[in-house]
Amino acid sequence: MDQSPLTLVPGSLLRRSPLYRRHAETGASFRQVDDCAVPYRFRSHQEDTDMARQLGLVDLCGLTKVGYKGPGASLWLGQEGLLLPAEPNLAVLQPDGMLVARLSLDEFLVLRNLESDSSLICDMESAWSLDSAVQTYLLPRRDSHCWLAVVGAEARQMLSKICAINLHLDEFPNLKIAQTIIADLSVIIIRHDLGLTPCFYLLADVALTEYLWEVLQDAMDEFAGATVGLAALLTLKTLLVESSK
Amino acid sequence: MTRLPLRPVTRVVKVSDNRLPPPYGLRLQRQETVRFSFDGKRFTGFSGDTVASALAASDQWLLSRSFKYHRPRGVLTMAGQDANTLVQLSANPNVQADVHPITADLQVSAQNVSGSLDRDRFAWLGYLSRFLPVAFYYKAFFRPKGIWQLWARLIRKYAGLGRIDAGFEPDRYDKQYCFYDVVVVGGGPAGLSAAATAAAAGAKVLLVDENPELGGSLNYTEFPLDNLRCMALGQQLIDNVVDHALIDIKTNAVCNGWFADNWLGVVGGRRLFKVRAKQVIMCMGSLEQAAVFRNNDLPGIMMSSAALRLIHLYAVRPGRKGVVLCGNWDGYRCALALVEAGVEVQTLVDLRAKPKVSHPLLEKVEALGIRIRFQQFVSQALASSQGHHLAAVEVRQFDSADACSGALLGCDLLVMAVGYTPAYQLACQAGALVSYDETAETFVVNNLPHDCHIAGSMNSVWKLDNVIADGAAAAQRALSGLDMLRNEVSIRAYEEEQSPNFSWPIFPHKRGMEFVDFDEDLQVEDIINAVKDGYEHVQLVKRYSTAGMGPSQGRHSALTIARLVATERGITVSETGVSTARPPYSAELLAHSAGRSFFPARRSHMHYRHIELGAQMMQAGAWYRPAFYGPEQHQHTLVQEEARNIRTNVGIIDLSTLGGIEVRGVDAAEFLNRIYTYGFIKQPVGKARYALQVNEAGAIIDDGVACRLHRDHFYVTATTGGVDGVVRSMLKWNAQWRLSVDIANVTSAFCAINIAGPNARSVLKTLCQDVDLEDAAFPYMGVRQGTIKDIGLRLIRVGFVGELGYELHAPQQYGEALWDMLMNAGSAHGLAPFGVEAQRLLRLEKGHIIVGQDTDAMTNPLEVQMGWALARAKPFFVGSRSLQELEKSGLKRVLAGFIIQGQSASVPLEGHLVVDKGAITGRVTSCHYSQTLKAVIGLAYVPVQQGVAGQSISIKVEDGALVSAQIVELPFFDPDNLRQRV
Repeated sequence: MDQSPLTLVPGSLLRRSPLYRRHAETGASFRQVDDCAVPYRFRSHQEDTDMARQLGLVDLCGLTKVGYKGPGASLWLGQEGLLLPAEPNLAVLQPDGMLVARLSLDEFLVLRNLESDSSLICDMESAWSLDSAVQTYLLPRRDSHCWLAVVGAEARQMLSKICAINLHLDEFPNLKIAQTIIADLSVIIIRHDLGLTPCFYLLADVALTEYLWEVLQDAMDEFAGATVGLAALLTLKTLLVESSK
Repeated sequence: MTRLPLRPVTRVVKVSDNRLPPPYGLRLQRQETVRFSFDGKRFTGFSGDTVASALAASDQWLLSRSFKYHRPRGVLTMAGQDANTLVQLSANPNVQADVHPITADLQVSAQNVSGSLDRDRFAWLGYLSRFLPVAFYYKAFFRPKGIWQLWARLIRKYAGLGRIDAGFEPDRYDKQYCFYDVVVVGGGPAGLSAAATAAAAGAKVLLVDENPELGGSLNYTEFPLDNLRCMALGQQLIDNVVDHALIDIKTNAVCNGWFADNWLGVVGGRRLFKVRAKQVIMCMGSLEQAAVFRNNDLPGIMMSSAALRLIHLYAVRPGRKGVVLCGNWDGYRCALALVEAGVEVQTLVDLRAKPKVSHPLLEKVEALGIRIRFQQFVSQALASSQGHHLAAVEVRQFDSADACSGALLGCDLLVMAVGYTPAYQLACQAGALVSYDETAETFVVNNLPHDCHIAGSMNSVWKLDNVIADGAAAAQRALSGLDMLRNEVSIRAYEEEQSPNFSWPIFPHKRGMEFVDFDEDLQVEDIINAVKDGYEHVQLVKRYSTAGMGPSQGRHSALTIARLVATERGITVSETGVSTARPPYSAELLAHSAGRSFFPARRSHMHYRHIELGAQMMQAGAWYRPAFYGPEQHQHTLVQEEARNIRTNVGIIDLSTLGGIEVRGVDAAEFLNRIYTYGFIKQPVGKARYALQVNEAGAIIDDGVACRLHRDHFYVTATTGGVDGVVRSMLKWNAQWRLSVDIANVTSAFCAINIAGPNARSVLKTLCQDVDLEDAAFPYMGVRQGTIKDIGLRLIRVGFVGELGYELHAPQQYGEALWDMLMNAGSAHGLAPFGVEAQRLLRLEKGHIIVGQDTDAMTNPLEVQMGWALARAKPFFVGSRSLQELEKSGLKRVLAGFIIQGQSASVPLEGHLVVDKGAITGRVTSCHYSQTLKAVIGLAYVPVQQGVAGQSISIKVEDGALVSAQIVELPFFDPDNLRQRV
């Protein structure tokens, strides 16, 4: 990941998160990830991380993701070297930290890892064509869907205000997927814990990103949650390694 | 932290007013006084007081007036179970004063009062009761003909309870989803026992109680145990659940409804908890019932449980001089508690015969000098001189032949302890049945579903030890259902004392006013007459008489009604039954059901650019779109200017809301050939074709263009509001056809901008260098893929507005950057954005329809002059057969263009009628003033013979005037379509 100073103006890049104005107004510092400015920090790193441990909301819209569907999708993705979940509504973590989520028998969603680059996803997109990938159809998930993360010890409790699925940590294990409704909106929920900290990825129609963001902020209020930057998530992942040791 | 109260020791307390000293008053924080007002007078209470308890402490017993006769009413249950204590707060009507806590400066007033609470002008209505028999409203008000209009005005003026403040600011309410192995409803001894037992076996438990503290009846009821043992047991039960890792506790929360699969609605504070339980244990207790005698509704007459709640929970002495009317031993216990609290109890009226063997309670009561009158009853209550409070009761001997033999006992308090009904409402919602135990003279709940259980007094178990054991037994059954029980479920019979229910605590009086249902002022005679009128079934009695339809939902009337109906019909109470119990169990605010209000508004990636440019945003389906740019009051001028700029120069419009569908696969062309009316098999790659979709009946449902990007890949656009339906229909059809094709809705994945106008090419050329934009290389209806900077584009040359134009479709998150680049590149050419209104005008000038606006559910392509879009030679497309038949049968209407010359002409609006000799013959679908044409132009459905160019039609406009318009050929502008092909 780019280690440049946090002076990036998100409007200076062509690709922009639908939420970049809000982040800028609330004092976010941005860092370029792939070709987009991602909110990296909202307060001091320690404060952001502490907040993320409790309850944080993170905008990951700028990060690369892609979808594939069709009867040939699992074969093609396997040939591309990906480990695939055995059944729908499960995700598998790839050796490089990429996440492959199986949304149905024939549909997959590939999310980049948070810390390194997205070259593998880009290579796959370049390799794909209607002629080369038999009965496999690329879906422009990076632009069709927003990608938000709700992280922290209170994440499940907060989501229980707006989501009818039982996300209790015992009932909804890590890398489990729910395709459900949140506040009248179709949402894909993927649990992907960061170290010991529960984390839920939320993916929904990108045109409703601001709506979903406002719903989540409204639900977070009673838990004193706040927006945090990508840096906090990266730190929580690092803590996983330390705690694993 | 919930704590069991320290129960008062047995001693007589001397008090100077109604407020008792500590340790009475479990709920009070005496260090904090609270001032509030009731009906304009100032009162003071303690924090923890309810409105009713604080008023009672100040000797204000009159709280409300009854619904029909405006009779004075006061405390009856002190449990929020009756309508007597409904009061008005400044913003909320129908607040239950006996459970609503006082807060600083709370303004409370009486409701349903004419004049003042003390001097209600309608109090005389009671004297007319003989002229207002049961269901009088079904028998009156309709004769002579037309009189209802007069009655309606009067009734509407006086009907209803309380006032709604229409100007109030809504509070925040929300919802939460919860999941548990076991939900225990009721935090009394049975519930506490059940929760602890279930959790001990590893079940995740939710314990719900409507009270502020756990303990239920342990906090106020006199159990047949010594107080110290009772306290210890209660504290142990509470300690077992509080802070238990597997038990969540919600106090001040009401389980208001049971729905399929143990889905429970629990209302707590400003939140509705949607709780899913694997097993439900209901320990909701029982509801004490009133005795029925003349004037049994006077303030000062209350349930024994209400008196005990006042004493123990709120430290309020319920009266100075009391009489106890009882049919069970609870009345004796209550009498002892009253004496302890300083009430002078002179008489206990026991409906039963004197027991042959003395009972310890009897001896205790007699030892206090209280006279016990066995086999006697209260025949009527007498009011004080003002009529606002109990002053005396008349007591008579059963089977007394002497009508004048009643003894008059002066008192300001009468407590009634004549029996209970189980709180069966929630269980009945779950499918339980209520039957009647003729021996115990009580309703019993049975036939519960396998995953619902009851315990405690709700299960007709009364002794405290038994209640606790019954709670544990219910938990064992629940655990068995969860496969979490290690041992067999123990089944045991409990040894109980005599049933607390007296068989017939109903004492009709020749002068009436013995109320069965306090909510609706229904007397014994009303119920009997309902049956006599032929409404024999208890459900019909309810609907005919309104018994049980008031706020208390029959909690205190169901048993009496069942007994009266059974006797009148000569059947058993079991055969009579009870009326259906439906959610909610207790009153809840609409705000609880509504929760947070959600409106998923879709915004394009350029949304804030439109705002910054001063756009007036409008809703288009679920999207926000710019209607026009500039101040609202200049709409007409601004829209005309935006349109003029397109006709003479260049402009851009955000089309991101346009539907986008990827259709890919070896059968993609065949698939589109079947879905749309036009031909697509031979469509070349790099070309777009108009795509018109009709349904099986041949009616138009959507349109767009299909762009062939690859032999096996079409990018199809659809209308903003129609795309979801189009995708659904595509998926549905292909489920039958099984063609090798993939259908993906990519509407949100692409932003889109249409750059249109004579200078469109010049502007675009400065940005897009890798596509030859000249007409020869990129002709009308061509499709190309190129880039602007690094943004990949799909360029479609279409002409919805009738000018040279290019639709640029790009990945959504580049939308704002693309908009900025076009605005910058076009600034030298005077490029300006245009909104939906200008686009509508421009397309109208070209005679293009908007599906949904210019079509209805019956419109076929032939009616809108789009027969050219039908590929009749195709073997099949959806709706082709219907269109063939429609074509054979001839048209009845056509969508024709009309023109009204002159700027000053009235502009018809969409929906205005076309009339011919007074008959409606059609309607306007679109209409606008065109600066370009210097005329009002529009589209209207007219009969075929009227739709011929040169015909005149009359349109009835807003003020009823008729405006003459001339039918013309379409399009209005550039009939040879030369401008879009340059």
